Amino acid sequence: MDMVIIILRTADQARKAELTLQRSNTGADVIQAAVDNWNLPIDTDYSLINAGSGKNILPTQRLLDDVVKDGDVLEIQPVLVAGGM
Amino acid sequence: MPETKPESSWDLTDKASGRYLRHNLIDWFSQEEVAAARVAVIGAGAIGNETIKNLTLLGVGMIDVFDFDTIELHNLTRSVLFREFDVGRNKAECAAERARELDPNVNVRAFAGDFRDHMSVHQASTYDTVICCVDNFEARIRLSKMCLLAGTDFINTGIDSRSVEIGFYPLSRGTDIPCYECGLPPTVYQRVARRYSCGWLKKAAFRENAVPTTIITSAMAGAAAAAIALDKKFAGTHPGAVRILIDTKTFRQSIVDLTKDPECGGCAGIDGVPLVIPTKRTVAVVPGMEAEEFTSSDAIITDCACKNGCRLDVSHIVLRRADEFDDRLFECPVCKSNSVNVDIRHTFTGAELIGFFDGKPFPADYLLTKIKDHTVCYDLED
Repeated sequence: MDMVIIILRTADQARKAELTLQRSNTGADVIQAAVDNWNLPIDTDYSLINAGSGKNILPTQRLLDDVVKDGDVLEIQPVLVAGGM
Repeated sequence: MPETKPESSWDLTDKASGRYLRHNLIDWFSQEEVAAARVAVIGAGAIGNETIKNLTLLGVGMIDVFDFDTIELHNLTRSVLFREFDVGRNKAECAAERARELDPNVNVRAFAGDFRDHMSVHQASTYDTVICCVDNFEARIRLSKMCLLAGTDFINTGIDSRSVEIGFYPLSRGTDIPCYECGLPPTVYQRVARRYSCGWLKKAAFRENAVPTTIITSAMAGAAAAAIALDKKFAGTHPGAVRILIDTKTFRQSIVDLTKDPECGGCAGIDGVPLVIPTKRTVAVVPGMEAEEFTSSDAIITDCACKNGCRLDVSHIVLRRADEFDDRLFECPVCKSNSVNVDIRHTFTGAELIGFFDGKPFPADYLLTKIKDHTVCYDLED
């Protein structure tokens, strides 16, 4: 199978969608799709995690069998920059 | 004549044992272990204040605080260690002073200035943990790289008005551990690049957006940073690198095991455990290494000339770090056009280093090279 069906959600779980993706898609593709389709703030950077396995998915990593399985829940998380003032 | 005990000695011991009485009742907690810890806190802002306060109250033996910034009125809503009359003071100095008031047994040192001007790779290697409480990606990346080379555990913190991010990178456990840059999205590098023109000259007109935060998120970040630093000291619950995200509205949290990125801009080029060699800043390449390639921690200006042939005095510019200047350098002060070519380099052969810098100080933090496929870091010191 070169397709995979996943649930994608934001970290606050305000947005959720079922997505059919190609195994050749990368973590960065999924993030970009979420930013575009959900109009997520573009002044924030995002990372992608597999909520089931508790592992992050690298931007360059393809959604291969050992990374994502059908029905997995992936979460878009903000990469936070503030800390000082 | 009876021998008298120095007053400071009995005073310290008695007060200290009384101060930590409740800690001593915790079965997994060793006050001696905590007192032996050496921690650096980079950034004495919102999270820094909370982290320094927590480490001090825990009785961490040595805390070094680094910050170049001064206290402003709007900082006071998130800074437990600052008072209104402190406005205008350096954050590191003020935070360290207040921490010493909290517990005089703790050795808190302040470094007023950019951490890179005070902390070498070798100094980073003397800490058990470096806790990063800064407010920009660039400083995080630089600090992470320094800890990677030093083999020092790195805790990253970040917040916004709702969420808290804590990353723990136990870099002392070997080269298989992911670093902060592993998995950083490319948009972070694009964001950093927007602050610079081509060639790492700062954009004079660039203004950073301020991210609003509250004491709620900074307090949780400071508590988590101190907790992880302690956990590392005792149980070592997390064998690898982890990233924790806490939502302070719903109190949901996720703990993610981080994956090492084989294409990481930070650690992919590091082979083996780096050999760190403290070296004088004055360049002198070892004979036989003239053809070896050296990568500088910073972009260096090697030439600067007007295309229109104007005669410029560039002695105060050439052989300095590019990030000390901004893109106004491209404008010729003589013909007033954007006609100045600036040569900026990150890599040099050994022969080029001698050619450019023979007898002169190299202005970067360190130089990296490889000897027999093993990374060597020449840690440059004055």
